[in-house]
Amino acid sequence: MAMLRTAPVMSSKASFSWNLGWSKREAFTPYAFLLPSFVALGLVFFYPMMHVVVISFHSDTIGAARFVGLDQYVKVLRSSYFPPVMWTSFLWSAGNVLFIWVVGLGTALMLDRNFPGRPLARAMFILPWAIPYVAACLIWGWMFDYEFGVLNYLLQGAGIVDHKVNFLLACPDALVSLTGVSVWKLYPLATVMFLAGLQTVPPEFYEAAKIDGAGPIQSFWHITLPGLRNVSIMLVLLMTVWTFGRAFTIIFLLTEGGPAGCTENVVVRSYLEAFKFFHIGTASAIGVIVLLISLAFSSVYLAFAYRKGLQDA
Amino acid sequence: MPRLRKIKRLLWESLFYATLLLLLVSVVFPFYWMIKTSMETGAGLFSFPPRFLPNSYAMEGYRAVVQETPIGLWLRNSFIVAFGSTIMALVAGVSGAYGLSRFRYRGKGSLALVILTTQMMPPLVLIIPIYTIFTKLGLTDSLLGLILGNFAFALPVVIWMMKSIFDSIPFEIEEAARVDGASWLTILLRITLPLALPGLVATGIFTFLSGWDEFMLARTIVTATDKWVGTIGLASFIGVYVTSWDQILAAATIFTLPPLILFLMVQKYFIAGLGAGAVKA
Repeated sequence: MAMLRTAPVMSSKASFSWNLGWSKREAFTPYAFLLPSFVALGLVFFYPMMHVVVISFHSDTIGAARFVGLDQYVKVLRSSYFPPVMWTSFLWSAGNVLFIWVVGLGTALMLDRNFPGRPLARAMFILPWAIPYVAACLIWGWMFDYEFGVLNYLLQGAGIVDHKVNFLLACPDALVSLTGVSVWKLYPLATVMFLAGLQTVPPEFYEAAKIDGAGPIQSFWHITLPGLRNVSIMLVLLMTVWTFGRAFTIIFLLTEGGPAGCTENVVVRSYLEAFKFFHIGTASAIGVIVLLISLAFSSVYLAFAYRKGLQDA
Repeated sequence: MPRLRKIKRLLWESLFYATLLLLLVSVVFPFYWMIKTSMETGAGLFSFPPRFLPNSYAMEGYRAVVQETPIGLWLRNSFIVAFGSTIMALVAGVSGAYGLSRFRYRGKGSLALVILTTQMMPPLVLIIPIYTIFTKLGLTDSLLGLILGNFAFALPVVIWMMKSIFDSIPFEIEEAARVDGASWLTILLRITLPLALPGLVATGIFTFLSGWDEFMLARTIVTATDKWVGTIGLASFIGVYVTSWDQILAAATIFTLPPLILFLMVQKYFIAGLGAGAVKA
């Protein structure tokens, strides 16, 4: 990227009054631009983050929290709820990322082709993304309804199931249903990212492959997929971290972690600890654990991706 | 031989359109079902098998929601929160993004990394301390508190998106202007921002939509009903407020319309801006 270092030499002759200060001023400029952002970021972002760590070192007693060191962490890690909520969170992220990637890529490949009505189709595919989460929960909650819901009717009519499905009130089913809502809401983002990625693959590559006698599957495997490598790496990272640490509204509104806790993930658990049972210290400890896992995952993942050559892909 | 090829091609084409249609239906059907249900009246709602066309266009649900719930107030509050936090995040974030994009300085890489790290943050880690801090400051149950909270969520996103947009604009014009004696601030406001306008709009809309959609923080720090935002109002329909699905989904439709319209208006910029960010990242 072009740098400003070339500029000072010329103008320092013209403007005598700031001759002395010129290079210092220019060296200072970036910090002047960064200062407002970072002061704001520090106040509303990093200060609260420090605060949550401090809270996590204190007891749950309201109004008279004592410093207890790492006790909250030990308590959480040893608790009977921690393994199952971690497992649910893991399943949730794995299911979401897998389906978002597959459906997102499939849709992008279809929308990349030329067909009549493509602009309209592209606009429609983005719709779920524009709908607020709470509204999406209400729609799906109604469609999932055991007695009057349209989904049971459609599934039975298509012969996929022979009895009504208890979408939200039976155990593994609820987790599958909620994952479906989440994928429906998130995969348009993947489609947009993949569509942008597809534009960066030079068309000559495909022509060359065709001349060499490669079929559509071969050129997909050897040209399209490698061309989407950077987008895929970023997408999988973001989606994993988001679905792990941010999955709240859909679960909280549609099942509140039920039935029998089988959709309760770490985020919902921490939220309930904080604002239902008022165990602020415990909730903070869970939050910090989620943050540490996210950071550890991202650094290992990125290190791995870069080692294999993110740039030359 | 050519005949066989033609048949194969035809099969491929029909498979393509069939899959496309199926995907399209799965995307659009929930929308259709929301609007269809919102227009129905009692009997049509609870019929099984369900009817695929509304049994009335009476808009009874809409009338009931508008008259019997303070949905207008909720929407107004949502708008104030989303708009306020967006403006704040844009003002505070643009200069930082410009600094990150344009200048070389000690620690540049690590600063950018810090911003990326904020994307790894589970919102809960912010909401718990924000709750305790706001309780001390008396900012719970206020729209200002919600604006500040959403500002905190939005700021790193704005910095990150605007940085990638500035990165895609060539620096030479700005350097030339600098040589001619313009100050960096003038350059940012007069040259760079106008060039980055589509990206700025996309970033602003993105931030606005996130604020409009925010549920967890609002659910936590707001209890007074006159400070409810749309997400809290809608969520309250589950179980408490009313039980008729026509009213619930009428409210959901009303709440979905503003972001949807906004979204369709700037869809092109939006997708281009995000796409560019994705490819660069």
